[in-house]
Amino acid sequence: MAAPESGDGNNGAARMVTLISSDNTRFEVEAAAASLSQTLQLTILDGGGGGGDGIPLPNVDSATLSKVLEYCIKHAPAAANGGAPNATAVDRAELERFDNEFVNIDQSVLYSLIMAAHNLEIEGLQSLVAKKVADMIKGKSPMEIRRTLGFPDPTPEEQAEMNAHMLEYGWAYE
Amino acid sequence: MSPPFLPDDVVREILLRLPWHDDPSCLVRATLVCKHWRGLVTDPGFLRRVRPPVFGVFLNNPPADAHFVPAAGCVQQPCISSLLRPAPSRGWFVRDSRRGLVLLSNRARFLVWDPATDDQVAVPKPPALCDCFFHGLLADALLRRPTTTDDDDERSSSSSFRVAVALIEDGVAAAAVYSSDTGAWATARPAPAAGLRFLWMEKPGAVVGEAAHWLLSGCRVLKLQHAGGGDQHQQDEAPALSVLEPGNAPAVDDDNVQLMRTHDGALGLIAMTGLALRRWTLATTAREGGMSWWTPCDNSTIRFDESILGPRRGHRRYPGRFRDEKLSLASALALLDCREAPAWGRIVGVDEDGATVFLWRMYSIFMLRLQPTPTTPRVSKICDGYFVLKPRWKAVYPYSCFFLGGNIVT
Repeated sequence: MAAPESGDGNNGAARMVTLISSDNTRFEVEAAAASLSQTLQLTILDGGGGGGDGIPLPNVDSATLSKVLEYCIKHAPAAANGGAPNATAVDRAELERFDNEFVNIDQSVLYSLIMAAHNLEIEGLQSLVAKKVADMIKGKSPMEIRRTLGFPDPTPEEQAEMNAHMLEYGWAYE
Repeated sequence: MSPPFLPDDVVREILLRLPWHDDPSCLVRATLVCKHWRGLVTDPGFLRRVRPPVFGVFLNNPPADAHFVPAAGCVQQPCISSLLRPAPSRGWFVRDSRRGLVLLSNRARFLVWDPATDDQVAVPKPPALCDCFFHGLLADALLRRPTTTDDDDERSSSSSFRVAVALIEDGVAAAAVYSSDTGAWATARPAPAAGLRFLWMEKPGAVVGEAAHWLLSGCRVLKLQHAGGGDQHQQDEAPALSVLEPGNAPAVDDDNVQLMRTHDGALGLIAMTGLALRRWTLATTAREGGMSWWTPCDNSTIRFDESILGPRRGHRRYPGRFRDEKLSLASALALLDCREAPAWGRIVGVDEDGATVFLWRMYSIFMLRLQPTPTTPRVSKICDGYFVLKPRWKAVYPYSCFFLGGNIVT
């Protein structure tokens, strides 16, 4: 078993940290999983989050945080292997299947995830959700993209500007 | 949380994951979503992370003027009107196209043309080499001066360029480099090698770093190194000509091979034999006394095997026209009787990154995108039997650009 790096002499593999969501729910996870977040990693390396303290995350609610941690726990073993050079094809396929399922979610949950991944700087998750949104808007017209992503209706001014651009670049719609 | 308030970093990451490589128009549409997105997409820092896709190819078809043929999926539109008349007048031939600039030549001079702005710069032919051009012993490459790495003005800056020419007379090579900064030709120090022969007169060379390369017979390479990096020495140092003689010569058909720059920036070779495209990169090993070898790349062979081809039939006829229509590899191949020729097609062009290959076959030009998965290229037909590429002119010159937010990005 590859032991996750731990800054102190504690029993690394089993080390747990506590994360506290904005609505004061406490989540206890392995330090290795929480360390996928660049933001948390430093705190954890400094020995924070252990015992009764916990790390408060005022920007993330409990529903989102549990979703984020689900991702981290699944991806932590592969990350601990340093990008998993010795991972089998089966492992990779399993992770891929998990990822596909993972982002198959309601749009409002997706936005919370995007913001959480961004704030916590979880690289793999950022990339995963960005890909999901790109898939949602690809092949769509600007107006459809606005509707898909829940933009407010364009102001008359914006609409006029879009129309002007449409005239000039209408060819881009094929 | 509403998406217009997504942080810019997040929006950029989303936009980068759009399939712009296959469908450049998706980024154009993104610029129309709102003013803020337009700002993000047209930002030079963002555009540097996006490689412009091949927009189409130039080709010479004498005695007619040079043509521009748009790639599949790229519709013609007003911005491109300058592309449709590349030749200022009769007698100009396209010689090369790199980084959004196009090099043309006629008997008397060169012309460097920027289709995005329609700027044209005339370049006289180098006096010392002038006489030889009438023998057609000319191969040129165009080098856009590499700009400093992290400057923000990289994209918008200079149309500073260099033109490199080489010729071989009686087996001895001579070359010169024109720099738009000095406005003068610098004659290259000759290479101490004789018995040389260009493999292809018309195919452009490959530019890797500060050097232009042309393919010689026997898979040797004529290398023209421009005066090395340091700007202060540029005036003093003459360009240097040398011949790279790799330890091996891959078995390739002389008619069906081209030099290229690989996607990781090394000198590469691509050839077609039978139903396979093969790729090599020139690697130098320390233990052989610095000798270089043509080494197969990763995923070096792109094989069109019979399982892709489907059941063999007799001679199939082309369906009428399907210009600008994306073909699956299977249907493209099924149109052709693979038994009648040793190679499926003839390599007529490779883009600057070695990511797109152009094949000519049966009066048609096919475009193979090797990205993102080299082993299963996306095939489309860009030009269908409207003219015959004469054997002497079997080369196309890919032109890459984006049209974004009112600007052409190359």
